Amino acid sequence: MLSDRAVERRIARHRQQLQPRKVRAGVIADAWSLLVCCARNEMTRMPSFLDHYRQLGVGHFLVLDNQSEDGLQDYLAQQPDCSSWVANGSYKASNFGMDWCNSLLAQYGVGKWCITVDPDEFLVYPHCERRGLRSLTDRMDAIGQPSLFTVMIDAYGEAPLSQNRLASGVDPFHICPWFDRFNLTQRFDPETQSFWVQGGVRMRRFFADRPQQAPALNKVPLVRWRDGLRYVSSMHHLNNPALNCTVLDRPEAVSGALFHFKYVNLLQQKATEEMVRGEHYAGSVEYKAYLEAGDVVLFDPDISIKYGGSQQLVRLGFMQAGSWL
Amino acid sequence: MKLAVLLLCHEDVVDLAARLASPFFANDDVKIYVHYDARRSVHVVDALKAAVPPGVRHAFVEDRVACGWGDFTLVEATHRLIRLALADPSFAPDYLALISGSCVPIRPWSSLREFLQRRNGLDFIQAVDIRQRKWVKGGLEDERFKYYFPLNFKRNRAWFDRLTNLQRWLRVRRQVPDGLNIRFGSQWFCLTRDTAAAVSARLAEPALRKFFAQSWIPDEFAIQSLVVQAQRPERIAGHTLTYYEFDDQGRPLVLENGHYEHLLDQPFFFARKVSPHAALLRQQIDNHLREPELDLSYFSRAGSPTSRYQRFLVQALSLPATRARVGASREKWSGVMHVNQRRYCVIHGASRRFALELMRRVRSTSSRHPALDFVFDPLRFVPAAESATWLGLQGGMRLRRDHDPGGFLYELVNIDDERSTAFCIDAATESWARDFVLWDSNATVLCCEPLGLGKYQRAEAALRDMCVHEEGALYEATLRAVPQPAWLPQDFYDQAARERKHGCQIVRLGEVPVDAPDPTLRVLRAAWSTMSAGDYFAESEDQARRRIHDLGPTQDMR
Repeated sequence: MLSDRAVERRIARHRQQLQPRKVRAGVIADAWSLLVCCARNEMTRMPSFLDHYRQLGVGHFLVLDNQSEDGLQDYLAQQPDCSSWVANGSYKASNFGMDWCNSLLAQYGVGKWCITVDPDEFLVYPHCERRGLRSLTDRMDAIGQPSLFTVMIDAYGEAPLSQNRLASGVDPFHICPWFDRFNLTQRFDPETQSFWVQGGVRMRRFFADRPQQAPALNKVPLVRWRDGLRYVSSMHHLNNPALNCTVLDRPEAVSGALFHFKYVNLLQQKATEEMVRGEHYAGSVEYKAYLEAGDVVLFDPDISIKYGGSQQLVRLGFMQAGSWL
Repeated sequence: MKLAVLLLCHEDVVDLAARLASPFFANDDVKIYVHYDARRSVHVVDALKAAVPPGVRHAFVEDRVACGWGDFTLVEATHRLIRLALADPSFAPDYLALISGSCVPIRPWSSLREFLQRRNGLDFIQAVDIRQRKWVKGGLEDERFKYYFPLNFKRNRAWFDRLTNLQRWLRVRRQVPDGLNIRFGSQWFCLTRDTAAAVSARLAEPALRKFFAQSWIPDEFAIQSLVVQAQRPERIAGHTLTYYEFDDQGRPLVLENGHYEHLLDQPFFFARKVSPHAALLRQQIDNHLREPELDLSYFSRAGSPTSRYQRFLVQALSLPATRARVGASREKWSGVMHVNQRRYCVIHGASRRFALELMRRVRSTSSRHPALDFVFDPLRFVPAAESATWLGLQGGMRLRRDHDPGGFLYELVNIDDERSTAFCIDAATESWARDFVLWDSNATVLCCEPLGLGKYQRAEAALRDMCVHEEGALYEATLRAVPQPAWLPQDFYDQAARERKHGCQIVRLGEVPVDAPDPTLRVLRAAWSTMSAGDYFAESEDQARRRIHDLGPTQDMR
């Protein structure tokens, strides 16, 4: 375990790797909310990703490009609500991109509502069909809730992975409308005052024989950023335990869900690439599991349920509206 | 009928301009008088003046007050609005309605006009005598006018509290000027011209001004008390025309997209705290305002909100079922079962084969019936013996089950939306589930054995189903317990019932009425009556004793 000082130093060192490309500093300063994301060769996903969050009302996007070769830079430069940086360095060494994200959050985010997500993660929350992020954060401000706890929902299609084709501009909710209606485990860790949630199709299909190793599904993607705050491991935990699970003991609080659209045709290619790069968490154990599983069908008529809006997720207990009528 | 709308505001120009565009104001019988907080610059006021839509009659208070929450300044700003409206040579209002920058009209002017005509001359203001009923939810009440409050709560929190405590200790009691009876209420009013004029005249008196200026949150009792003094009681409606609600913590309900139907159920003419981001809601309301209302039956309920929001709050804050299962409970032992509210059935019995056959028969009555085998067997996970998967439960889930048994049980219990789940448990084998179920008030633990069996019959059946290699210890323990005056290991729940050490309901399936209210119980009971005891149990105690004897001697067997 590194000391806080050592982590700060490492973040400061990795901050040097950020090279601004198209940074609209004035717009960032005026934006009521920011979205920070670290991307690599995500040109296919980027348009629908931006659209989803634009629709929710995100003020400005801060995108870190980790050496993309698919024209992501040029695309981002044309978007009036995007600022972009190139991160020339190892994804793994920078704590899987978090050092870069933490740098931007510290520099631009303090006092603002900030979303930090991966390009394959789409936030939903109670009433999100009709109420924008701003209504949500107003509500959270009113009840004194500084962050949004979410559970990741691994979504997939009916067809085998290779047949579930994600193309540029395609709404991923459309091709991956299914998820496991049960299969969630959780463990409370008193030390970090937070939950480790695991499960979903990832545990069912890829980690059934070693559930302890299944990737964590708990994330805190929306935070009113403060000075000194930083994400510790991915967006799972912050260094301030009080912000990690804000629904605990607070029935009035709101929580959300992060749709995770990883299970598409791009996965096999990415897994193969990762085996060579070795840039992912825990020796890329997750990607090894994907390679071993091959071209699987994740859909199971007894377990899979089709996404039917935020009210459905509230009813299933994946998230709560609290006392937000 | 002419209405002066007094707008007390400090919000952003864009937001206010959108509110002024409401069709309600585009009307010659309505004129809006605006007081813009003096903390906002003149340029902001000019921007708002420029943004008032054409066709909206309006006037601005030029001599503005810098408003502070809880201060007399809000009363003073209201006072200036009243004076401006009453002195307007171009408009002679019959009524003056005070609204805020976060309020919107929710009924067309034709409805409000009709309402005011029918209630001719009534003053709409809340005026509660706090000697008779409490009005302030938490916090200071009569202290607000008994003590001196020279400081603002928000700016000088620490000194505000110290000063208040000091005065409480000193038993300070300020004199209320010339017999004014203090009445509390929401500051949003709709007053007749005469009453407003009387109130305005009194608010100009230096003694009264001084009294209110040294009070705390006078906007919630100053005008209210003066109206009560100026008007006969039967001419005061006692409620406002503005819909607003608070939660248990005193936080206002903010109206958002999705609240349109709820809002129109409320028998009011204005609504407070409409979110500036609820564009859809405002559009729906504006559309509503463009057409005359046909149904005015809500007039009779005017001033009384429906109970929906308060009922919703009670449910949301007290029922665990409304909470997300994820992050709901830090309980280590019970996990998310801590917040479970659904009932479920647990089947046990000395003969495991009997229990398994019972479940198989239940499952054969309908596909997808949530009836499961020994799903907490420590060594394996077989949800339904005759099928590789049942309701999506598969053999490979054993490790996941033991990773978080509370979460697993929660999923079993909620696996069917309507029918309650039933599963078997081995009472003789220790497991997390066996112990948890014992203390779970949502569990109905059912002994499925035929009625009237003796101890030897039960022990013999239990022994017959055991695998000596896997369960040597249990086998021995059962054998030892039979001849002694002791409980069998299979009697775990029977013993708990006898000793009254349980939180679950413990019953015998054979004694469950055939018309039990729970459908799962009925199906279980029906399947039970088709079972034949002779296939699983010895005919008599004697036969069972002989069979056990034949199993081979142990120390205790004679």
